[in-house]
Amino acid sequence: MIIDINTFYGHWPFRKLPCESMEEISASAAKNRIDAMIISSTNAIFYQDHFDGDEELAGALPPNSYQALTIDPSQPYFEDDLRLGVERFRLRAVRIHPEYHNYSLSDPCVTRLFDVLHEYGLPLLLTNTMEDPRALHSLPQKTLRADEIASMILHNKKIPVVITNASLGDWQTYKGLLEEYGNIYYDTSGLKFGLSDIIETVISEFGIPATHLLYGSHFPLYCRESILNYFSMDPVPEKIKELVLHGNAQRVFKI
Amino acid sequence: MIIDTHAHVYAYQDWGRLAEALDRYGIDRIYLSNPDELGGFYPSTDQIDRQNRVVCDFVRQNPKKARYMCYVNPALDSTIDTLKKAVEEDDAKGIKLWVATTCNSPQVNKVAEFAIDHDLPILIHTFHKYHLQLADESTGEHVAALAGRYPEAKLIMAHLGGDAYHGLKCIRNHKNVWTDVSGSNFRNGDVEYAVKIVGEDRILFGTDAFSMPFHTNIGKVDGAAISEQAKEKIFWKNAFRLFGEELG
Repeated sequence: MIIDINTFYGHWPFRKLPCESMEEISASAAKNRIDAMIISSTNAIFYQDHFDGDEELAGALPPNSYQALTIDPSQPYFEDDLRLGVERFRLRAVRIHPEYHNYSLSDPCVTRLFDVLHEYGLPLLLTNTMEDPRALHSLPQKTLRADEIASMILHNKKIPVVITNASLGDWQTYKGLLEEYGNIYYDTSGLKFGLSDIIETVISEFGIPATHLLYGSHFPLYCRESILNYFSMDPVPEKIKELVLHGNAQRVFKI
Repeated sequence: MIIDTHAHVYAYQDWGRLAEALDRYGIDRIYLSNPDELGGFYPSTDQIDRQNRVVCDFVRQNPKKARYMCYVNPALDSTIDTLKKAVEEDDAKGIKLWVATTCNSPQVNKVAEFAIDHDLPILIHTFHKYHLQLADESTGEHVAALAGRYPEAKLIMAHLGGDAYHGLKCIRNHKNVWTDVSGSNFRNGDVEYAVKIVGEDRILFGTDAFSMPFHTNIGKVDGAAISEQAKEKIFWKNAFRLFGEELG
């Protein structure tokens, strides 16, 4: 079984993607034997009313998948939008995009977000970067730093925080926090280094526990096949496959 | 069949493990260079000689699959001597340029002329960035300028130009420029875009191994929404034609 916790639906405005429709996303999932997805709205990042993007997503969501609500905690109504999202959508997480919105991770609104997520029992999905910083569109974009993310995690309620598309190098910043609080997770989409037995190397040499690594593709911005090859081209132990490909997602997102 | 036209080998690596990886991941041929183990961005003659020696030693140990690409710093007076040795003594199959100069620097002229005389492709590290561009790091514009000055030269713009949306249109009309897909990025759509802009006959498979995974680079071609014929060309047929070598 495979659960992809990091999939996007909607129009990415910075380059033309080969597949943006839910039919194409589902076809890719079927081709790659992905059984379920946690999907976030790309449109929600850029709509002034982010909730519009999530309503679109909810209307297109495949029956086997779940939604991560995009929230801008600097907006005064975000708690009400979250309440509506919990009531109306098949919600399993909240996603934030501070790199495209007008707040920083140390702002009080982020603390309030953590408090609210703690009340709802929802994890937070935080995208380290939507695209490789070396190949960003020419429009200036903020980039997040690992120390900012670590500080956010340290100073707020200890809900599960899943950092997506982050590098192995950045993990060293989070390692100590994980050992103390246990609430930090990484997805696989940013794992771009190594020769062979990549998943085992990530666990044994870089120190990301198998219980805190989740399969996420960052599709359709990234190729699904690229990361899935880590599991098909190398002899990954079954126990680790089960945890990374679905077990951790089932536990963290209560699927 | 897979021909990796862009990879690197270093003295500090476990060469047994590297050779095993070639078999495990189905790499039939790999073109190797060592541009950065010793001398940083601007290596000396001695550093270049030692770095190239590493590659030659690995190739000698793995003659069936490995091939030598001679790395040069065009700013050095010793460049032509380095290239002569590479061809006459070490059976170099191509030339590698990194960031010691931009590839359209006048200092590269002698490299291009040597490459033409000896029918050697030149693999050019190419990476456009809006932030933190290195001082002498080539972009697609530089590659296009060199290609225009030397239309007989066979040039390879590495990494799809770094940012495919910057590099590929620069080389679109230069039929003597190929591009490789190597690197850490596996953005969905980049390979499709490359086929659209430069055509399926000018795209080469590469990985930037042995640091970057074979898995992700194979995946981005396998997963691309292009024809099986185009994938075959990218994985090996285009490289086979470009380097003109029999396999096996």
